[in-house]
Amino acid sequence: MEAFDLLMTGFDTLLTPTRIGFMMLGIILGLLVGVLPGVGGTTGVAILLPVTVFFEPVSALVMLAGIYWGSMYGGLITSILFGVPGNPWSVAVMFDGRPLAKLGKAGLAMATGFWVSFFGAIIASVLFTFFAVPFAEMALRFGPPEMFAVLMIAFGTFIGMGGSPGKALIMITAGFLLSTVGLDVVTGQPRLTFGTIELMRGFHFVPITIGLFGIGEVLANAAERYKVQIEDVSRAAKLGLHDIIAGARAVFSNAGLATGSAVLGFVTGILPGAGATPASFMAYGFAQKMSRHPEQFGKGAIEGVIAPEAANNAAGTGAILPMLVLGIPGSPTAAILMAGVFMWGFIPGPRLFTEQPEFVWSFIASLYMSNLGALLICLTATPLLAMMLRTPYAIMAPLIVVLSLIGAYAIQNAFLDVWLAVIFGVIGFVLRRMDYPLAPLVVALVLGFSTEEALRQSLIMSDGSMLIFFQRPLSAPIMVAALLLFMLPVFQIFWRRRQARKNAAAAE
Amino acid sequence: MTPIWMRTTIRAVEIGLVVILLILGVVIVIEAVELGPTWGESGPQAGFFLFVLAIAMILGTLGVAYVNAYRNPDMRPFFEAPEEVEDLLKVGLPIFALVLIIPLFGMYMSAGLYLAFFMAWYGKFRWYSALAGGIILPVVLWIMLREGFNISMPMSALYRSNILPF
Repeated sequence: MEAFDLLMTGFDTLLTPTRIGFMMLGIILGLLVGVLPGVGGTTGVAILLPVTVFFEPVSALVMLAGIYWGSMYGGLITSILFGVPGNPWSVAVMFDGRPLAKLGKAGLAMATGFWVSFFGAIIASVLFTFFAVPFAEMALRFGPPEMFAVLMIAFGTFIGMGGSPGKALIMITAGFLLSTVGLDVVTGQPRLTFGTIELMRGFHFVPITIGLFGIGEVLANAAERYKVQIEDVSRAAKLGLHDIIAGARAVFSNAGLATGSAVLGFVTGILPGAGATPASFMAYGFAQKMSRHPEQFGKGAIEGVIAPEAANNAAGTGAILPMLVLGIPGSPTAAILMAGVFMWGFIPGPRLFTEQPEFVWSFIASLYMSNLGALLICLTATPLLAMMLRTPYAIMAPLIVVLSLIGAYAIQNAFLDVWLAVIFGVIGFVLRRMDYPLAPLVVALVLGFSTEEALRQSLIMSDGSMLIFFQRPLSAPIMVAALLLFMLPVFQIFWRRRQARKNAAAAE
Repeated sequence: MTPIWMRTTIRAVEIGLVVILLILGVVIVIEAVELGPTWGESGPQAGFFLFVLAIAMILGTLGVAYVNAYRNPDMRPFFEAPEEVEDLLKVGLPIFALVLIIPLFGMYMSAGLYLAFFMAWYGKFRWYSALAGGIILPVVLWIMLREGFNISMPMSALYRSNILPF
């Protein structure tokens, strides 16, 4: 089978000491990032991206991806041991993981979590491997109207499936507007530069994400500090051999649940508006509904650990698929990785598969290897990882800030970018507090240029008619789906009014 | 009497955000009109997308304002406890100070000064621990960035006058 052969070439390219070394470094950094409460996986990738510009592309990508996968494993350690989720997608595992720890079964919970994370990630990787080539071939037949339609679905998922559609809309438009600052590509006129020369360069995506996710998280964390107390770590974190075996057995007995959660997570991850976090909650909900003893959930049901952990790792893997194949990131972290792909000189999309197969397939091969590496490190070194939590905040926080600012400057040696990072740090803090979703802002910022280009080219093809999107056989159904997604919140309002009227009538 | 920053409600901050977004939206609309907001002969003019996007943003903002400031105002305080404000300022203000001193002291020295200050002031470390941190960090950064990756960082005023190599 073609995919299998390509995968073997990928392993071949990957298995050099340098690249494996970078991958392991990424995994270890990711585990640390996942364990430390103030820093999430997205933050780690955002801060270290600028440094990787100077690496060779395959090493850079597998290192950043290693950070991403590593953080997926690390986050569950603090969720289970302390009830402090290291990442947003580690919250659901806390519901049953923490009670298990309180019952003295922390080792079992963590071992199960690690095994099922690996299981979910591998299933997602297999799906990824086999869907990658057909998706890419389909995408090769995309013209500008199809591209625009798919981009509209991407934004539609934020509006239709996110929390507040109004706030998501504001964030999307704000992201687009930020991406327009600078010189207009077609006419050469400066837009939104207000006469300054620095702004003519436009805003680079990286300092803004470093601000939103790096410094913003430091500030958000600072505000929460008075609430969180972390108890003595070293005793609770030991993982014995019988825990490891019991954990594996738990995954086997619930293999159906784990597989289903993984598939759910993978599909959710592909959609830009939904990622690892909603996937973990959805999987938890389904597991509870389909369980034979739903009342056990929340008190230490092992299914409550298996479902969300399988789903969130699978979702993280799924988010990369549209990024590589179409250039549409399925999550903010995938968006940052995509920016990296651009910076290393490649263009994500179907042609990447045909023109740079070693790059793509060595990354896909790294999906398997990184997860294996992360699993092994977690099973053997959990106490060491947990000890990292002893690092004093007064050293950790400034370190993150300094690394963020260094990263912001390293991109294009512009001091403006350092200020940009700090300003967006404050903005990110306020937006988070006010429940304005950051993901649409980041994705719109990254995709703003491509969206505008796709729209322009489509309209040139059709001499200005917007109907072109509905006249082509491939783009029409996609556009209709996108429009439905945009209209979903309106439907929901009507639905709710009908329900309220029905309830009022029934109560009489 | 509770201080004003403790009395600020979430609703007040929502309104503040709405005002800022509306001002931005109007400014962008003005710029878009200057650049030409309509369809030219050869396709959309430079201001077209700006115009559409800014209008969409204004509409979205008005919608959010209607729901969050009028229909369902969240009257809970924005800061739940005075410790929040205190910690925020204690962490945030040094960050601003850091960015302000970088042009003068260069990235390496500024990072060292910042870490030493924060360790001593916020973390209440002894002066020698803070000093150690303030020296080790720049050295490690120097090795990693200059020698390792060859990434250049802003240098101090003393560098620019050729007194020090950093």
